[in-house]
Amino acid sequence: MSAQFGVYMAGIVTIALYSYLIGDNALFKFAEHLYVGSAAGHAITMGYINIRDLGWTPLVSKGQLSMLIPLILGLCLYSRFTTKYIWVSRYAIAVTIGIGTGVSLRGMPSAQILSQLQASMVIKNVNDFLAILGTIGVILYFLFIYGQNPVTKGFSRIGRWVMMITFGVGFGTSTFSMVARGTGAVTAILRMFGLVK
Amino acid sequence: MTQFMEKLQNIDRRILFVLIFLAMAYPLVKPFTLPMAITQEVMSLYDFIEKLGPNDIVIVAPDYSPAYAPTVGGACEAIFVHLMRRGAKVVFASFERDGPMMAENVIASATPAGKKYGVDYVNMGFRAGGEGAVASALQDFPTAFPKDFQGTPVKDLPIVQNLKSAKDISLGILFSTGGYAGGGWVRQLVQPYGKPFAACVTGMMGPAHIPYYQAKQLIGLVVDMKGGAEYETLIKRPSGSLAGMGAQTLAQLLIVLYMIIANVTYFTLKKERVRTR
Repeated sequence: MSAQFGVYMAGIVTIALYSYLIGDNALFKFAEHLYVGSAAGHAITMGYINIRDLGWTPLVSKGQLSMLIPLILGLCLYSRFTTKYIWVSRYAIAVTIGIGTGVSLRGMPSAQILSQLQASMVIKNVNDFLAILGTIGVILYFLFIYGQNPVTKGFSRIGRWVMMITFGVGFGTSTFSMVARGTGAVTAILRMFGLVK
Repeated sequence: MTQFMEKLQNIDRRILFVLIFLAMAYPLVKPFTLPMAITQEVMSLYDFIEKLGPNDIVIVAPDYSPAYAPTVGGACEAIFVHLMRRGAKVVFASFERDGPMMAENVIASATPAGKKYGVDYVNMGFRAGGEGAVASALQDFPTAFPKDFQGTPVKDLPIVQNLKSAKDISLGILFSTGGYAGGGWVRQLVQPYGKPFAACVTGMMGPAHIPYYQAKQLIGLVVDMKGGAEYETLIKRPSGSLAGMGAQTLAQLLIVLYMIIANVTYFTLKKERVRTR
Protein backbone atom coordinates (compact mmCIF):
# COMPACT_ATOMS: atom_id res chain seq x y z
CA MET A 1 0.00 0.00 0.00
CA SER A 2 2.74 2.46 1.01
CA ALA A 3 4.83 1.57 -2.06
CA GLN A 4 1.81 2.18 -4.30
CA PHE A 5 1.19 5.51 -2.55
CA GLY A 6 4.82 6.47 -3.24
CA VAL A 7 4.45 5.60 -6.93
CA TYR A 8 1.35 7.81 -7.27
CA MET A 9 2.93 10.64 -5.28
CA ALA A 10 6.07 10.58 -7.47
CA GLY A 11 3.99 10.58 -10.66
CA ILE A 12 1.56 13.32 -9.58
CA VAL A 13 4.27 15.62 -8.19
CA THR A 14 6.40 15.15 -11.33
CA ILE A 15 3.46 16.11 -13.57
CA ALA A 16 2.68 19.04 -11.27
CA LEU A 17 6.24 20.34 -11.50
CA TYR A 18 6.39 19.97 -15.28
CA SER A 19 3.04 21.80 -15.55
CA TYR A 20 5.16 24.95 -15.23
CA LEU A 21 5.89 24.54 -18.96
CA ILE A 22 2.29 25.62 -19.61
CA GLY A 23 2.72 28.54 -17.20
CA ASP A 24 2.73 29.30 -13.50
CA ASN A 25 -0.26 27.58 -11.89
CA ALA A 26 -1.69 26.41 -8.56
CA LEU A 27 -0.66 22.78 -9.11
CA PHE A 28 2.96 23.81 -9.66
CA LYS A 29 2.89 26.08 -6.60
CA PHE A 30 1.53 23.20 -4.49
CA ALA A 31 4.28 20.82 -5.67
CA GLU A 32 6.95 23.50 -5.19
CA HIS A 33 5.88 24.20 -1.60
CA LEU A 34 5.53 20.49 -0.87
CA TYR A 35 9.08 19.93 -2.12
CA VAL A 36 10.61 22.81 -0.15
CA GLY A 37 8.69 21.85 3.00
CA SER A 38 9.59 18.16 2.88
CA ALA A 39 13.26 18.94 2.07
CA ALA A 40 13.46 21.35 5.03
CA GLY A 41 11.75 18.83 7.32
CA HIS A 42 14.12 16.10 6.23
CA ALA A 43 17.17 18.33 6.72
CA ILE A 44 16.04 19.30 10.25
CA THR A 45 15.42 15.67 11.20
CA MET A 46 18.82 14.51 9.95
CA GLY A 47 20.51 17.46 11.68
CA TYR A 48 18.71 16.65 14.94
CA ILE A 49 19.80 12.99 14.78
CA ASN A 50 23.42 14.07 14.21
CA ILE A 51 23.43 16.52 17.13
CA ARG A 52 21.74 13.95 19.40
CA ASP A 53 24.05 11.03 18.52
CA LEU A 54 27.37 12.85 18.15
CA GLY A 55 27.00 15.78 20.54
CA TRP A 56 24.27 15.49 23.17
CA THR A 57 24.45 11.75 23.99
CA PRO A 58 28.26 11.64 24.45
CA LEU A 59 28.02 14.75 26.66
CA VAL A 60 25.16 13.57 28.87
CA SER A 61 25.67 9.78 28.93
CA LYS A 62 29.46 9.54 28.72
CA GLY A 63 30.42 12.85 30.29
CA GLN A 64 32.52 13.94 27.29
CA LEU A 65 32.82 17.62 28.20
CA SER A 66 34.71 18.39 24.97
CA MET A 67 31.34 18.07 23.22
CA LEU A 68 30.37 21.36 24.80
CA ILE A 69 32.65 23.18 22.33
CA PRO A 70 30.81 22.21 19.10
CA LEU A 71 27.43 22.53 20.82
CA ILE A 72 28.18 26.06 22.03
CA LEU A 73 29.65 27.01 18.64
CA GLY A 74 26.48 25.67 17.02
CA LEU A 75 24.32 27.79 19.32
CA CYS A 76 26.49 30.82 18.52
CA LEU A 77 25.37 30.59 14.89
CA TYR A 78 21.83 31.52 15.96
CA SER A 79 23.10 34.93 17.15
CA ARG A 80 22.84 35.98 13.49
CA PHE A 81 19.16 36.60 14.17
CA THR A 82 20.03 39.57 16.40
CA THR A 83 21.81 42.65 15.04
CA LYS A 84 23.44 43.40 18.41
CA TYR A 85 25.15 40.01 18.88
CA ILE A 86 25.74 39.02 15.25
CA TRP A 87 29.51 39.19 15.87
CA VAL A 88 29.27 36.07 18.08
CA SER A 89 28.31 33.95 15.07
CA ARG A 90 31.51 34.99 13.27
CA TYR A 91 33.60 32.98 15.74
CA ALA A 92 31.63 29.83 14.96
CA ILE A 93 31.94 30.45 11.22
CA ALA A 94 35.69 31.15 11.57
CA VAL A 95 36.23 27.87 13.43
CA THR A 96 34.18 25.92 10.86
CA ILE A 97 36.07 27.43 7.91
CA GLY A 98 39.41 26.94 9.68
CA ILE A 99 38.76 23.27 10.38
CA GLY A 100 37.39 22.69 6.87
CA THR A 101 40.41 24.28 5.26
CA GLY A 102 42.82 22.42 7.54
CA VAL A 103 41.21 19.06 6.82
CA SER A 104 41.17 19.69 3.06
CA LEU A 105 44.79 20.83 3.05
CA ARG A 106 45.84 17.61 4.76
CA GLY A 107 46.46 15.59 1.62
CA MET A 108 46.12 18.29 -0.99
CA PRO A 109 49.78 18.86 -1.96
CA SER A 110 50.41 15.20 -2.70
CA ALA A 111 46.89 14.34 -3.91
CA GLN A 112 46.25 17.23 -6.22
CA ILE A 113 49.64 18.66 -7.11
CA LEU A 114 52.49 16.14 -6.88
CA SER A 115 50.62 13.02 -8.04
CA GLN A 116 48.96 14.92 -10.88
CA LEU A 117 52.29 16.41 -11.98
CA GLN A 118 53.94 13.03 -11.78
CA ALA A 119 51.18 11.40 -13.86
CA SER A 120 51.26 14.12 -16.50
CA MET A 121 55.02 13.72 -17.02
CA VAL A 122 54.85 10.12 -18.21
CA ILE A 123 54.48 9.64 -21.96
CA LYS A 124 53.26 6.17 -22.90
CA ASN A 125 50.90 6.96 -25.75
CA VAL A 126 49.49 9.78 -27.89
CA ASN A 127 46.96 10.71 -25.18
CA ASP A 128 49.76 11.36 -22.68
CA PHE A 129 51.58 13.53 -25.22
CA LEU A 130 48.39 15.51 -25.88
CA ALA A 131 47.85 15.92 -22.12
CA ILE A 132 51.33 17.43 -21.71
CA LEU A 133 50.86 19.66 -24.75
CA GLY A 134 47.47 20.81 -23.43
CA THR A 135 48.83 21.46 -19.93
CA ILE A 136 51.70 23.61 -21.25
CA GLY A 137 49.34 25.41 -23.62
CA VAL A 138 46.79 26.29 -20.91
CA ILE A 139 49.54 27.43 -18.51
CA LEU A 140 51.04 29.67 -21.19
CA TYR A 141 47.61 31.06 -22.07
CA PHE A 142 47.28 32.38 -18.51
CA LEU A 143 50.91 33.45 -18.16
CA PHE A 144 51.00 37.20 -18.52
CA ILE A 145 54.47 37.83 -17.04
CA TYR A 146 56.31 37.67 -20.35
CA GLY A 147 55.30 39.35 -23.56
CA GLN A 148 53.95 37.18 -26.37
CA ASN A 149 56.48 35.79 -28.82
CA PRO A 150 55.74 33.41 -31.73
CA VAL A 151 56.43 30.32 -29.56
CA THR A 152 54.28 31.30 -26.58
CA LYS A 153 51.61 32.60 -28.95
CA GLY A 154 51.44 29.22 -30.67
CA PHE A 155 51.26 27.34 -27.39
CA SER A 156 48.63 29.66 -25.91
CA ARG A 157 46.51 29.13 -29.03
CA ILE A 158 46.75 25.38 -28.39
CA GLY A 159 45.77 26.10 -24.77
CA ARG A 160 42.71 28.04 -25.92
CA TRP A 161 41.63 25.16 -28.16
CA VAL A 162 42.16 22.67 -25.34
CA MET A 163 39.97 24.77 -23.03
CA MET A 164 37.27 25.11 -25.69
CA ILE A 165 37.24 21.36 -26.25
CA THR A 166 37.18 20.74 -22.48
CA PHE A 167 34.23 23.10 -22.00
CA GLY A 168 32.49 21.40 -24.92
CA VAL A 169 33.00 18.00 -23.32
CA GLY A 170 31.69 19.43 -20.04
CA PHE A 171 28.58 20.78 -21.76
CA GLY A 172 28.02 17.49 -23.59
CA THR A 173 28.33 15.38 -20.47
CA SER A 174 26.08 17.83 -18.58
CA THR A 175 23.41 17.34 -21.23
CA PHE A 176 23.86 13.59 -20.90
CA SER A 177 23.38 13.87 -17.15
CA MET A 178 20.29 16.07 -17.50
CA VAL A 179 18.71 13.61 -19.92
CA ALA A 180 19.47 10.78 -17.47
CA ARG A 181 17.68 12.73 -14.74
CA GLY A 182 14.82 13.35 -17.15
CA THR A 183 14.58 9.59 -17.63
CA GLY A 184 13.86 9.32 -13.90
CA ALA A 185 11.03 11.85 -14.17
CA VAL A 186 9.54 10.11 -17.21
CA THR A 187 9.80 6.75 -15.42
CA ALA A 188 7.90 8.18 -12.42
CA ILE A 189 5.03 9.26 -14.68
CA LEU A 190 4.96 6.01 -16.66
CA ARG A 191 5.09 3.96 -13.47
CA MET A 192 2.01 5.72 -12.16
CA PHE A 193 0.08 4.52 -15.22
CA GLY A 194 1.50 1.00 -14.84
CA LEU A 195 3.47 1.24 -18.10
CA VAL A 196 6.82 0.37 -16.51
CA LYS A 197 7.69 -1.67 -13.43
CA MET B 1 10.77 28.14 -48.21
CA THR B 2 11.54 31.20 -46.06
CA GLN B 3 8.16 30.93 -44.35
CA PHE B 4 8.78 27.27 -43.59
CA MET B 5 12.21 28.07 -42.14
CA GLU B 6 10.76 30.84 -39.98
CA LYS B 7 8.08 28.46 -38.71
CA LEU B 8 10.75 25.91 -37.86
CA GLN B 9 12.82 28.51 -36.05
CA ASN B 10 9.90 29.73 -33.97
CA ILE B 11 8.47 26.34 -33.11
CA ASP B 12 6.76 26.29 -29.68
CA ARG B 13 9.23 24.96 -27.12
CA ARG B 14 6.45 22.91 -25.48
CA ILE B 15 6.19 20.84 -28.66
CA LEU B 16 9.93 20.17 -28.41
CA PHE B 17 9.51 19.07 -24.76
CA VAL B 18 6.61 16.75 -25.65
CA LEU B 19 8.73 15.17 -28.39
CA ILE B 20 11.61 14.69 -25.93
CA PHE B 21 9.15 13.11 -23.46
CA LEU B 22 7.91 10.69 -26.15
CA ALA B 23 11.49 9.87 -27.22
CA MET B 24 12.30 8.97 -23.61
CA ALA B 25 9.03 7.17 -22.87
CA TYR B 26 9.00 4.81 -25.85
CA PRO B 27 12.24 2.90 -25.02
CA LEU B 28 11.21 2.70 -21.36
CA VAL B 29 7.88 1.08 -22.27
CA LYS B 30 9.35 -1.04 -25.07
CA PRO B 31 13.02 -1.54 -24.06
CA PHE B 32 15.59 -2.41 -26.68
CA THR B 33 19.17 -3.49 -26.15
CA LEU B 34 22.09 -1.53 -27.53
CA PRO B 35 25.66 -2.80 -27.91
CA MET B 36 27.60 -1.62 -24.85
CA ALA B 37 31.35 -1.02 -25.10
CA ILE B 38 33.07 -1.34 -21.72
CA THR B 39 35.48 1.45 -20.84
CA GLN B 40 38.81 0.77 -19.14
CA GLU B 41 37.78 2.83 -16.08
CA VAL B 42 34.75 0.60 -15.39
CA MET B 43 36.57 -2.62 -16.26
CA SER B 44 39.35 -1.94 -13.79
CA LEU B 45 36.84 -1.49 -10.93
CA TYR B 46 35.09 -4.72 -11.94
CA ASP B 47 38.43 -6.56 -12.00
CA PHE B 48 39.35 -5.21 -8.58
CA ILE B 49 36.05 -6.30 -7.01
CA GLU B 50 36.44 -9.73 -8.62
CA LYS B 51 39.49 -10.23 -6.38
CA LEU B 52 37.63 -9.38 -3.14
CA GLY B 53 36.39 -12.03 -0.74
CA PRO B 54 34.51 -12.56 2.55
CA ASN B 55 37.30 -11.01 4.62
CA ASP B 56 37.10 -7.69 2.81
CA ILE B 57 35.19 -4.69 4.13
CA VAL B 58 34.06 -2.12 1.57
CA ILE B 59 32.81 1.34 2.58
CA VAL B 60 30.18 2.61 0.18
CA ALA B 61 29.15 6.27 0.40
CA PRO B 62 25.85 6.76 -1.48
CA ASP B 63 26.12 10.55 -1.48
CA TYR B 64 23.42 11.34 -4.03
CA SER B 65 19.87 12.62 -3.87
CA PRO B 66 16.70 11.02 -5.33
CA ALA B 67 16.79 13.42 -8.29
CA TYR B 68 20.17 11.99 -9.31
CA ALA B 69 19.26 8.35 -8.68
CA PRO B 70 18.84 7.67 -12.43
CA THR B 71 22.43 8.83 -13.03
CA VAL B 72 24.45 6.92 -10.42
CA GLY B 73 21.80 4.82 -8.64
CA GLY B 74 21.99 2.04 -11.24
CA ALA B 75 25.75 1.77 -10.77
CA CYS B 76 25.26 1.68 -6.98
CA GLU B 77 22.85 -1.25 -7.29
CA ALA B 78 25.07 -3.12 -9.75
CA ILE B 79 28.23 -2.68 -7.67
CA PHE B 80 26.38 -3.68 -4.47
CA VAL B 81 25.17 -6.87 -6.18
CA HIS B 82 28.71 -7.62 -7.40
CA LEU B 83 30.15 -7.08 -3.90
CA MET B 84 27.48 -9.36 -2.41
CA ARG B 85 28.27 -12.06 -4.98
CA ARG B 86 31.94 -11.87 -4.01
CA GLY B 87 30.98 -12.23 -0.35
CA ALA B 88 32.53 -8.88 0.62
CA LYS B 89 31.09 -6.96 3.58
CA VAL B 90 29.38 -3.74 2.52
CA VAL B 91 29.13 -0.81 4.93
CA PHE B 92 26.97 2.06 3.65
CA ALA B 93 28.12 5.30 5.28
CA SER B 94 26.65 8.56 3.99
CA PHE B 95 28.04 12.06 4.13
CA GLU B 96 25.09 13.67 2.35
CA ARG B 97 21.63 13.93 3.94
CA ASP B 98 19.77 11.83 1.37
CA GLY B 99 22.38 9.08 1.41
CA PRO B 100 20.74 6.76 3.96
CA MET B 101 17.49 6.74 1.96
CA MET B 102 19.39 5.95 -1.21
CA ALA B 103 21.17 3.12 0.59
CA GLU B 104 17.79 1.79 1.80
CA ASN B 105 16.49 1.83 -1.79
CA VAL B 106 19.54 -0.04 -3.08
CA ILE B 107 19.30 -2.62 -0.27
CA ALA B 108 15.54 -3.09 -0.87
CA SER B 109 15.87 -3.62 -4.59
CA ALA B 110 19.19 -5.41 -4.99
CA THR B 111 19.99 -7.56 -1.94
CA PRO B 112 20.56 -11.14 -3.11
CA ALA B 113 18.76 -13.93 -1.24
CA GLY B 114 20.57 -15.31 1.79
CA LYS B 115 22.40 -12.12 2.69
CA LYS B 116 21.79 -10.81 6.19
CA TYR B 117 21.58 -7.26 7.48
CA GLY B 118 24.25 -6.48 10.07
CA VAL B 119 26.35 -9.46 8.94
CA ASP B 120 26.83 -9.02 5.18
CA TYR B 121 25.78 -5.40 4.79
CA VAL B 122 24.70 -2.47 6.93
CA ASN B 123 23.38 1.07 6.53
CA MET B 124 25.19 3.28 9.04
CA GLY B 125 23.21 6.43 8.21
CA PHE B 126 24.41 9.99 7.70
CA ARG B 127 27.09 12.12 9.34
CA ALA B 128 27.20 15.87 8.77
CA GLY B 129 30.43 17.72 8.04
CA GLY B 130 31.32 16.85 4.45
CA GLU B 131 35.00 16.15 3.97
CA GLY B 132 35.70 16.70 7.69
CA ALA B 133 33.23 13.94 8.54
CA VAL B 134 34.88 11.64 5.98
CA ALA B 135 38.27 12.28 7.61
CA SER B 136 36.85 11.64 11.07
CA ALA B 137 35.06 8.41 10.05
CA LEU B 138 38.20 7.07 8.38
CA GLN B 139 40.23 7.84 11.49
CA ASP B 140 37.78 6.46 14.07
CA PHE B 141 34.77 4.76 12.51
CA PRO B 142 32.85 3.65 15.66
CA THR B 143 32.97 7.19 17.09
CA ALA B 144 31.77 8.78 13.86
CA PHE B 145 29.05 6.15 13.40
CA PRO B 146 28.04 4.90 16.89
CA LYS B 147 24.70 3.55 15.60
CA ASP B 148 23.28 2.36 12.30
CA PHE B 149 20.46 4.11 10.44
CA GLN B 150 17.82 2.24 12.48
CA GLY B 151 19.47 3.13 15.80
CA THR B 152 21.16 -0.24 16.47
CA PRO B 153 24.41 0.31 18.41
CA VAL B 154 27.69 -0.71 16.76
CA LYS B 155 28.29 -3.44 19.39
CA ASP B 156 25.20 -5.32 18.08
CA LEU B 157 26.35 -5.26 14.45
CA PRO B 158 28.86 -8.07 13.71
CA ILE B 159 29.86 -6.57 10.34
CA VAL B 160 31.48 -3.49 11.92
CA GLN B 161 33.16 -5.22 14.87
CA ASN B 162 36.49 -5.26 13.03
CA LEU B 163 36.06 -1.87 11.43
CA LYS B 164 37.98 0.62 13.55
CA SER B 165 39.55 2.87 10.92
CA ALA B 166 40.47 3.14 7.23
CA LYS B 167 43.24 0.60 7.85
CA ASP B 168 40.57 -2.11 8.10
CA ILE B 169 38.90 -1.49 4.76
CA SER B 170 39.79 -3.01 1.41
CA LEU B 171 38.03 -0.49 -0.80
CA GLY B 172 36.13 2.79 -0.60
CA ILE B 173 33.52 3.68 -3.20
CA LEU B 174 31.88 7.07 -3.49
CA PHE B 175 28.67 7.74 -5.40
CA SER B 176 28.63 11.47 -5.77
CA THR B 177 26.66 14.09 -7.65
CA GLY B 178 28.39 17.19 -6.29
CA GLY B 179 30.12 18.68 -3.26
CA TYR B 180 33.66 17.74 -2.32
CA ALA B 181 33.36 14.59 -4.49
CA GLY B 182 36.23 12.26 -5.37
CA GLY B 183 38.95 14.81 -4.58
CA GLY B 184 37.95 14.79 -0.90
CA TRP B 185 38.22 11.01 -0.66
CA VAL B 186 41.56 11.01 -2.48
CA ARG B 187 42.81 13.51 0.10
CA GLN B 188 41.40 11.64 3.10
CA LEU B 189 41.64 7.96 2.10
CA VAL B 190 44.09 7.41 -0.74
CA GLN B 191 46.91 9.76 0.27
CA PRO B 192 47.06 9.19 4.06
CA TYR B 193 46.15 5.47 4.18
CA GLY B 194 47.09 4.26 0.68
CA LYS B 195 43.76 2.47 0.36
CA PRO B 196 42.07 1.73 -3.00
CA PHE B 197 39.25 4.04 -3.93
CA ALA B 198 36.73 4.23 -6.78
CA ALA B 199 34.25 6.94 -7.72
CA CYS B 200 30.90 6.88 -9.46
CA VAL B 201 29.93 10.37 -10.55
CA THR B 202 27.61 12.27 -12.87
CA GLY B 203 28.52 13.06 -16.46
CA MET B 204 29.39 16.66 -15.68
CA MET B 205 31.81 15.54 -12.94
CA GLY B 206 33.38 12.77 -15.02
CA PRO B 207 36.02 14.83 -16.88
CA ALA B 208 37.22 16.37 -13.59
CA HIS B 209 37.82 12.86 -12.15
CA ILE B 210 39.76 11.42 -15.08
CA PRO B 211 43.09 12.97 -13.91
CA TYR B 212 42.70 11.07 -10.60
CA TYR B 213 42.22 7.82 -12.53
CA GLN B 214 45.19 8.53 -14.78
CA ALA B 215 47.32 9.27 -11.70
CA LYS B 216 46.20 5.87 -10.29
CA GLN B 217 44.54 7.57 -7.31
CA LEU B 218 41.27 5.96 -8.42
CA ILE B 219 41.21 2.26 -9.17
CA GLY B 220 37.99 2.73 -11.14
CA LEU B 221 35.68 5.43 -12.41
CA VAL B 222 32.02 4.91 -13.31
CA VAL B 223 30.48 7.89 -15.07
CA ASP B 224 26.74 8.49 -15.06
CA MET B 225 24.06 6.20 -16.46
CA LYS B 226 26.41 4.96 -19.20
CA GLY B 227 28.90 3.71 -16.60
CA GLY B 228 26.06 2.05 -14.69
CA ALA B 229 24.88 0.36 -17.87
CA GLU B 230 28.42 -0.90 -18.51
CA TYR B 231 28.59 -2.36 -15.00
CA GLU B 232 25.17 -4.00 -15.39
CA THR B 233 26.46 -5.57 -18.62
CA LEU B 234 29.59 -6.84 -16.87
CA ILE B 235 27.70 -8.51 -14.02
CA LYS B 236 25.01 -9.75 -16.47
CA ARG B 237 22.17 -8.13 -14.49
CA PRO B 238 20.26 -5.74 -16.78
CA SER B 239 18.40 -3.11 -14.77
CA GLY B 240 17.59 0.61 -14.66
CA SER B 241 20.74 1.96 -16.30
CA LEU B 242 20.64 -0.36 -19.31
CA ALA B 243 16.92 0.31 -19.77
CA GLY B 244 17.57 4.04 -19.48
CA MET B 245 20.27 3.99 -22.18
CA GLY B 246 17.63 3.42 -24.87
CA ALA B 247 15.78 6.52 -23.67
CA GLN B 248 19.06 8.38 -23.39
CA THR B 249 20.04 7.48 -26.97
CA LEU B 250 16.74 8.49 -28.58
CA ALA B 251 16.57 11.74 -26.57
CA GLN B 252 20.16 12.64 -27.50
CA LEU B 253 19.47 11.92 -31.18
CA LEU B 254 16.46 14.22 -31.00
CA ILE B 255 18.55 16.96 -29.33
CA VAL B 256 21.14 16.63 -32.12
CA LEU B 257 18.31 16.90 -34.67
CA TYR B 258 17.07 20.06 -32.93
CA MET B 259 20.57 21.52 -33.13
CA ILE B 260 20.88 20.70 -36.85
CA ILE B 261 17.45 22.23 -37.59
CA ALA B 262 18.28 25.33 -35.54
CA ASN B 263 21.59 25.84 -37.36
CA VAL B 264 20.17 25.18 -40.84
CA THR B 265 17.26 27.58 -40.28
CA TYR B 266 19.53 30.24 -38.77
CA PHE B 267 22.05 30.23 -41.60
CA THR B 268 19.41 29.89 -44.33
CA LEU B 269 17.47 32.87 -43.01
CA LYS B 270 20.68 34.87 -42.55
CA LYS B 271 21.64 34.18 -46.16
CA GLU B 272 18.13 35.14 -47.27
CA ARG B 273 18.30 38.44 -45.36
CA VAL B 274 21.66 39.31 -46.94
CA ARG B 275 20.30 38.46 -50.43
CA THR B 276 17.18 40.61 -50.09
CA ARG B 277 19.01 43.60 -48.54
